[in-house]
Amino acid sequence: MFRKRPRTPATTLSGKSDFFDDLPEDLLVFILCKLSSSASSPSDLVNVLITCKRLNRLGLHPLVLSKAGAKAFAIKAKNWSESADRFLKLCANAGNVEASYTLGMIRFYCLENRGSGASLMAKAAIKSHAPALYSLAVIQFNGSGGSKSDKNLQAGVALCARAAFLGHVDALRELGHCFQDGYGARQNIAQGRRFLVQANARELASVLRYLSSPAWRLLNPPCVSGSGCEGLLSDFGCNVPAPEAHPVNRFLRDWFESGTGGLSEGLRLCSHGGCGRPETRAHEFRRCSVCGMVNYCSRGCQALDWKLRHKAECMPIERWFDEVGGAGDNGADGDGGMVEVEEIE
Amino acid sequence: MADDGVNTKVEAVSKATTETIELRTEDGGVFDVDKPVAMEFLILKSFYEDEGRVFDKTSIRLPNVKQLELSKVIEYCTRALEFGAKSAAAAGDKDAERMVRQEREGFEAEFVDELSNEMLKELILAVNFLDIKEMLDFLIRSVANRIRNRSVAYVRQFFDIENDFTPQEEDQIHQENAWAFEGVDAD
Repeated sequence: MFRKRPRTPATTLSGKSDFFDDLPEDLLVFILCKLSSSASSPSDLVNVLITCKRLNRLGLHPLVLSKAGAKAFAIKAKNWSESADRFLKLCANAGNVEASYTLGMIRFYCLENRGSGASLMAKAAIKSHAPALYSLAVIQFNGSGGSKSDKNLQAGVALCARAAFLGHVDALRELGHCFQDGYGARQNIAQGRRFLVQANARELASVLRYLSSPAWRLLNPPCVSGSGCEGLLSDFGCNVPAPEAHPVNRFLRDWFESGTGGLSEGLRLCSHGGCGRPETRAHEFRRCSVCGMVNYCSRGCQALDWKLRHKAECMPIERWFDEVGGAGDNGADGDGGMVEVEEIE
Repeated sequence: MADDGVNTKVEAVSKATTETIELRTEDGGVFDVDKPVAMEFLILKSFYEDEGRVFDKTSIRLPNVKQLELSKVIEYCTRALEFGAKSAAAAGDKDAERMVRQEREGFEAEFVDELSNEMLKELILAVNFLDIKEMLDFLIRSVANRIRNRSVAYVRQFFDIENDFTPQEEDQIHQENAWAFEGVDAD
């Protein structure tokens, strides 16, 4: 694999100035691949493109682009531009799954280009990209980008199942609730509960892995119980931060909240902070039936937000709401206090 | 990798059970290297195995490698083999495995910290020539770590690059890629 170009004996005595020319292309590509795959922000990779023509050419080599990690596409919403779009498309064409997913989400929700967005996400989903499968499932459940009749619950469940099979925690939760309620699949309460337990177990496992990494120990002294607890594991007294969301969710939220993109009249954002998805038509999302103040795109977001903040602040605004769909207790699987949601016409 | 290398505790100067190969560098350095370590250099391995040569003690000249680099390479490979043996012995015991891994990471961090940018580059060329996959991967990772999130000027200086863009081209490139920039380390 290594084409060894022999070092020319005519290297100058100082050796320095000829170094860059001597370095074989495949080594440079390897270095750039490592850089792109471990990039923590777009500038890590793009910096290299600006240095000189040779690195510019090599930095845009399909191999380098295809290896870029998700964080390399963590663009700030206010910086979005045509060229950002072009760069992401380039990476997606090089086979980068994260780029496909990221661009798909941005085009679907922010640029409102439903067809292109969905097909990019599908491209990622075909390559078994779990977040893409889950996002497509949410779109199917809500009939996003179309009318209420475009909802396809069975398709949603099928996509969720595939994402869940790959270990996606939100998809597992979503699937669990679908089975418990007979939503898009034949009701099977025991199976639903199993999925919910599995979701919690996976979340715990990923958090433990994160906890045992040197980076975590360096940055965080042991948590004091009760301080800043997040994630559903707080039920078990595990006060650990929620798993990191995909950078594109941050992008969506910033896009709509900061006003870079316009949210049409009457449309709302999913009230879960880590989601960022907007409604694509009025009354698409479901609201909390107790207080009616918050809306969610999916069960997964509802469950997380309940634990993260809403449980503390949810209050019935009118008494008669209490009789309709009050808090359902699912203490067995640790999602205790889950609130029913209903879709308003 | 030679099987006997895994079983014996490899020390640089042991002559009792392991055979050594003599390597001579471009600038006159002479090194006696244990066979298992030398066999990590794929260029040597294929030299012996493909050609079916009998392993004799004639010394081998390495035209593209200097003393300083070779000594560093030998140091790294010897330790890498030791770690390999330790983690093989610790297989199955999670705690022991983690300890070995941490020890290894500690050694690698120290090893690369001592290297100047120049040295790092020279080592990469040497290791590429000797064809040592694992070490090359390690060195490349280290280079990537060093240039990550640095300014353009730093990267240019690191690789000794001449900026061959015209001012207009440079402006155009900056504009095109403006979306990516926010918060780059000031070196």
